Amino acid sequence: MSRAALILLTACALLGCGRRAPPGIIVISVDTLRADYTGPYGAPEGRTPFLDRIARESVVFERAYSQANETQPSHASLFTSRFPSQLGPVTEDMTIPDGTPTLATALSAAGWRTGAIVAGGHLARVLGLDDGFQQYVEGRRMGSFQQTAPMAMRWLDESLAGDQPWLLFLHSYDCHIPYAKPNVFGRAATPGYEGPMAQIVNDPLAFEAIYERMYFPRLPEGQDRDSVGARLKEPGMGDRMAQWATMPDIEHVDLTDEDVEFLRGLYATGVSYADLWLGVVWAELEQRGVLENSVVVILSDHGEDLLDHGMMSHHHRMHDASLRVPLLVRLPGGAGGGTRVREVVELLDVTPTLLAMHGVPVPAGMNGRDLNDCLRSGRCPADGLGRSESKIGVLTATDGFFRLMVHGAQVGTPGMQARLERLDASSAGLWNTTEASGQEKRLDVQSFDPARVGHLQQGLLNIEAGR
Amino acid sequence: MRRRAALLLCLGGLTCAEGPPRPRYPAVAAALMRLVDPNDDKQVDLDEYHDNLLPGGSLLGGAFEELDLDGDGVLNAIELERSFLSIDPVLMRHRALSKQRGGSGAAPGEGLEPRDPKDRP
Repeated sequence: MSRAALILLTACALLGCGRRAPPGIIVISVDTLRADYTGPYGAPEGRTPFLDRIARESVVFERAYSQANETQPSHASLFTSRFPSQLGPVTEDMTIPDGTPTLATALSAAGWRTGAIVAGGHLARVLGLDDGFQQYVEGRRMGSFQQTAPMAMRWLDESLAGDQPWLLFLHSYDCHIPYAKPNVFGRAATPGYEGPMAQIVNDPLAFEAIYERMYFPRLPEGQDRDSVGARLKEPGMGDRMAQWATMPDIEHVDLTDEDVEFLRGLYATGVSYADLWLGVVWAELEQRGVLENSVVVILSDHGEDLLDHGMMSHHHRMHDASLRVPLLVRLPGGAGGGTRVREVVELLDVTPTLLAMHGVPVPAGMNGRDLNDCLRSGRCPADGLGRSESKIGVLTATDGFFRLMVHGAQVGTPGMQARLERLDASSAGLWNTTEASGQEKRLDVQSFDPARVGHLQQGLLNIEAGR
Repeated sequence: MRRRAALLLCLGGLTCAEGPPRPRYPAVAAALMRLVDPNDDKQVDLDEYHDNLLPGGSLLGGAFEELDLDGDGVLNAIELERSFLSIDPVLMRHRALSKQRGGSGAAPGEGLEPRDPKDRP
């Protein structure tokens, strides 16, 4: 052996030439990313160019539904593979009971390195999502990928230098109210707009003081704005705002089509800004060679109602706008890239799928399905349902074509159970979801195809059985 | 306005109060530059910007001139990074507005202070 070859071999032994980085899983959650505002789910070309590119290398689940319309219960469900009500009373900031198995606890117990870089807010450590993550870093509250992505790449570099398989959870609020994104991009969708909504773009609470095309710049006397801001997320607040609209001493602004277009444009710009960061993250992953032997899952915890059903934000409505989310799984090497799965899946399927994919036993009590066959074949069982719960006393299930909605009692209580079993018109509705968002037609639940309604009903009753 | 003028002068190489400008968040600037500047010449022209970052027909693709503070037709790390920093003032403005209206000035989600996990309810 020549001296040069010997030196090269020695250097390689020391520096790790040819060493293959340990495999990993990256779960990227783009908070509040509504599926139909992204390219892979039908948005206009140019809205999400990076996600479009990623989708061509990924398996795209066309009908994926979150189990809640709020950040914490949805992520809790994603990582525990349990419905929110199976973890406790469904609230905006519900906690995960100590000892509940999660994706991170299962992988950590199997010897994986686990890290989460989240943008704080409703994913604060105190709420319990940190269980199983050996490192759980909270960036700026309600922050952007601009903080979390660089931190995640540093964590990843440390992981790649070791020999453990690893799990990275990366999260941001780039599309969340107030749809914060750099001012230079802020009004890209409607550059000439000078209407009244231009005055509220930096005021998160203002977005939630909009009801049925009415904006309430001032609230009834004696109501503190911040305390009302919190209450704007309460059940029934929409009804109260409807009452305000009839009270002559409460000022309101009637929104025009132009105003609504501006608000939707702001959200669209936030989506594009989040997409830009996905592009940055993707380039970083490519540069590190991570994509060859790791799995990347891109999803969102819930969507956003943009006056599709009378309100802004995601707190008050349980239609597809708030619950249908992107779900893209990029397998090692881009295997199966471009496959589109049409059947309905739920976010709580993600954890058992990832565990089974890596040969880690799925803990007892997890409700989700293993989607590995779907990833391989591009077909899932046709009877899947997307079921969702809410703190506002609404329980809903969809088969991708129709949505059953039961309301009027707290989810997980005997009152809701009774309404679910009874399914009368006063507390249950059926919606045709094949129409454009906001155009869904309400159907009579009692006279509609009993087999279809029964399937949706049974899907919801099954949650009770697992509680 | 004065700050923008100072930045323009500084970017133009005329005068910098504290030496040449440096990215405030070097990791962000580095990540962006790696994506958008594959030939590593530390400058991004319009073609690179459209080819590697934001396609011409995309929603955000038309912002090149806004980002090009000194108007020299190329973006450097400082200019590119600048577009990613103006989120901070948004939240600061929210706090100010909230206080003006008699509120607490809390940011969205504020109040969820991290506590010792043992304190969980």
